[in-house]
Amino acid sequence: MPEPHADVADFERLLRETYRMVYQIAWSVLANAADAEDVTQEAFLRAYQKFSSLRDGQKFRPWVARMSWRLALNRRRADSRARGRDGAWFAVRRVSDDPEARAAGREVESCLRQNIARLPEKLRSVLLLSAVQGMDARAVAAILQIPEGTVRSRLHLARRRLLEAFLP
Amino acid sequence: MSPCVEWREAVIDCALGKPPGAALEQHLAACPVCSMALAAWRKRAAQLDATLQDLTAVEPGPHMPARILAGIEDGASRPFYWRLIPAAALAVIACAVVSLYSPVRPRRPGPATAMALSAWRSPTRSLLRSSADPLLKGVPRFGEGFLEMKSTGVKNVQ
Repeated sequence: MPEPHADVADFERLLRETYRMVYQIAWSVLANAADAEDVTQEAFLRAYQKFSSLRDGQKFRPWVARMSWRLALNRRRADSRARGRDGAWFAVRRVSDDPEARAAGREVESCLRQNIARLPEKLRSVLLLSAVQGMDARAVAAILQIPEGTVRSRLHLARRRLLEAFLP
Repeated sequence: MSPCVEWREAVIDCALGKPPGAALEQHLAACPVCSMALAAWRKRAAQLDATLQDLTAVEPGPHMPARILAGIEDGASRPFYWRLIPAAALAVIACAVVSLYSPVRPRRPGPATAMALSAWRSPTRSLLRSSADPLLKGVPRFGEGFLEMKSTGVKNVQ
């Protein structure tokens, strides 16, 4: 629950600066708008509860980003246990079943989704987080708590696997 | 379009933005197939990157900040005892677990039970009783032996 001395104005400003990123991080894990919205809401609620303990305002962005990531991951694990499969990235339609998508030039997108779903979790996490707007290797490393060099090498490996899937 | 087999890996890395080594540059200058493949694969990699950006460039609803703040205010306006509900639930669960898994201690008997236990005699005593008891439990007088004693039932009196 909120602390009485939490600075609401500061929190609101930071919320408006970061909610898009937080939502996109949650979406990158869950690939579902409603779930991503729930996770965003929960992440900010928790952030508000502990806001008074955050001394450095500069750390709010990575802090809430990691919170969103963890919450989204927990939700996906719970969902995959319930559904017996690994999250929404696997739930994409097959290209051949979607002629409209092909006609509209979405074939690449569909294939890409399938290939992302096939990536190992470590590579997929780095790839999707790096694709979120404004997330560089340093930010991704802070969220996943791994070295920046590891982020770069995993990102290269993930992109390489995707490209190879599209090559003759 | 496939590049030379031995250069394929290097061409893929190069298409993904890795700077080509001197050997690859030399080969590309001499091999039009590989340089065409590199150009095509660079385009492909850029297309994939752009599609990936599109996939994650989802926009939340415009009212999301207001909804989040409303949710926080809603949490703040809840009465104090709402905070105790999770703690109370945890306490109940903890009590149940402790009572289920704690070792059972033997209870001390009450006074009535203790009296009954002290009055109890083993039935083997009555089984061991025999008609020779007076003889065996008697003490022979001076000059007598146990075998000469008569079982009179009268105890030895000096």
